Amino acid sequence: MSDVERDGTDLAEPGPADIAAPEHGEITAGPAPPTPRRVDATHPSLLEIFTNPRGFFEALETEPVSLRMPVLIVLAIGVLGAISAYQLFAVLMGAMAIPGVEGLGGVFGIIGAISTLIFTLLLWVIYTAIFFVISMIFHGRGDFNRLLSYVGYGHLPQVIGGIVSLVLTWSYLSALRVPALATPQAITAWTLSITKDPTMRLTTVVGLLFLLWSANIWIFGVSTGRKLSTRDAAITVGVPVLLFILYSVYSLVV
Amino acid sequence: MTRRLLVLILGLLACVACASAALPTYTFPTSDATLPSSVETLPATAVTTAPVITSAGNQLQVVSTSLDPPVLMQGDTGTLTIVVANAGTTPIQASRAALSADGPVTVVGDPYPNVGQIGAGSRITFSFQVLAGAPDGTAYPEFSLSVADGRGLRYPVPIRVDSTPPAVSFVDKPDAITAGQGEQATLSVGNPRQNALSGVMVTPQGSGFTVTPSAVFIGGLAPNAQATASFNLTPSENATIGFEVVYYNGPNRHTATQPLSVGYGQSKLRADLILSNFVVELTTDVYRLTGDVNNAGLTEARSVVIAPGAGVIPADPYPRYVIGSLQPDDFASFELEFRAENRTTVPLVISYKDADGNPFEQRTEASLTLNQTGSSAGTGGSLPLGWIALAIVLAAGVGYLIYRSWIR
Repeated sequence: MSDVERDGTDLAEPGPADIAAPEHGEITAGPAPPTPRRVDATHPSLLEIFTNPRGFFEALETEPVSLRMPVLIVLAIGVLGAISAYQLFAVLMGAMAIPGVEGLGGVFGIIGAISTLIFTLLLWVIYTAIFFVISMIFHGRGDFNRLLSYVGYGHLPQVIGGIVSLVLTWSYLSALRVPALATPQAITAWTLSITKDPTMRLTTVVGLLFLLWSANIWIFGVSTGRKLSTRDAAITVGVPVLLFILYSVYSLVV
Repeated sequence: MTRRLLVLILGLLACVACASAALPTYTFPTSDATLPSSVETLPATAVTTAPVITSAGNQLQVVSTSLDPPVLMQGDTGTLTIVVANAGTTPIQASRAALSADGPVTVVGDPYPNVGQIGAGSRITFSFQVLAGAPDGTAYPEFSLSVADGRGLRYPVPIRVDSTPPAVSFVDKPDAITAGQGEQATLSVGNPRQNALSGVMVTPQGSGFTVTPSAVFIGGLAPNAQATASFNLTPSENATIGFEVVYYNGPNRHTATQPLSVGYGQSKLRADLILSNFVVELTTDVYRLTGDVNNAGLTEARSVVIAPGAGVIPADPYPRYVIGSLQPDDFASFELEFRAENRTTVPLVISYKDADGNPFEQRTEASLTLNQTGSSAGTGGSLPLGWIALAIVLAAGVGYLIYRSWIR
């Protein structure tokens, strides 16, 4: 957080509302007093979360809890994931030559996209709940909604990761030769071959990389939102995230 | 003047009368001794006479001669038929009819030691068995018919002996035979002789092969005509193959053999399939091999199928690739998918058939050196450098930002 306190509008320069009017409307002679700045303007720049997450969340502490921006962030991730899921499901179902399923690739793609969107939102809540519960071990104090908000902000790096993953997935699927899959075994084998493809593995790695970045931000968010020491917050966030990453790496390798 | 002219005319008439009196007078039968209107026409060696007077007395004549078969081969037995007519008005007492040998032609037996009376205007037929010997040529055995007054009939009958056999040749045969593979062989049987042959039949001879059909019956073969006989042979190892042509010259059976002298080996005309233009890609653990198959042979390859050989596991969607027919000098592309571990090459099996349905198989290998790395498109086995560089940059950037967030 910079030393310039702002009113939450992220203005680089003070606007008219930032200038305090003289008391009693008196017109005073002499040199004009220096323009005071509002000290209660605490909403930080969103980009600050990348460089100074602690300051970002400390600034938010003075603000009332608002889920508008976190929801938008998570929704953005969900939409990006939904697009990738739609592509994958559409391709997969389009390859199926099983009677009754043929031609339903688009339908299954939409179902997959919606499921991915809902799952992303649910995952946000689940992460928050896990952090909330674990932080209780360290006698954490703080509102769930605020923690939910902070965890939502912490998803911001994954928007970038989602974009990169989307590009990788699109690049992979656009030139994918789709065979006719007539048996469930063939579908399973082909799906497995997709997940084992280096490009799709890179997509997973990129996702984990940005998850790691989010986890780093969540540490500061949990530390601020649940009034924990950095160490306790790191444990609160690190354990579940590390488990998730280990599971993902295991799935990637095996 | 008139008197002189009259004397000249009388003189001319007298000359004509004298000339007429000096020539023999022929009396031809008019009713029961009708001469044949169509006398059998024989080749130059056989003779048909329309009516010939051969003896003094102007009564006996040889009406016709015929030989069956018209042209003999050496060793053949033929039947010479001579028809003699009594063209006179009185019966003739014939004592003996005989045929003398001449050159390669001998006469079997003496069937007419006492002929008897030949009525006026009647005909009598004499048949002699003649045997043709060597060498070829034309013989003139003489037919003689003795009569009581000693003025017999003598007539040389030309008989030709020609041992030219039918011309047998292959119009289609394999340039090489391979054990167990069917081959087509077609024989042509031509008749260069001047008489027709009958009962012509071609039969495969030899051992160590199967053949369809087992024989081809051609039947009669007119002079200067030809016929063909086709066989589908499937030889085994060390097969000896030949063809026997059986034919009849009249009643005489003859044979001619034609060996099929073909060596074992691969046909020089067979299709020769060559694989080239390999492109190997790797998707996860599945190799994708594409390439071209060229027919560098001289015959069409049918039912061409390309498949991975032993040691690799074919994978969907192209565990095998069916090309179908491939004309000479033509090519087609193929695509194979397979899994292979710890291999640097992949064996490939090309199977095809010829026009007769004989299966052939060629084997080759392709290197598994990856020459396409487009895994970003799901078609390669490794990541492009661009993606790897991007991942490194992202990791470095994220690492830096995480680091910066902690030092503040």
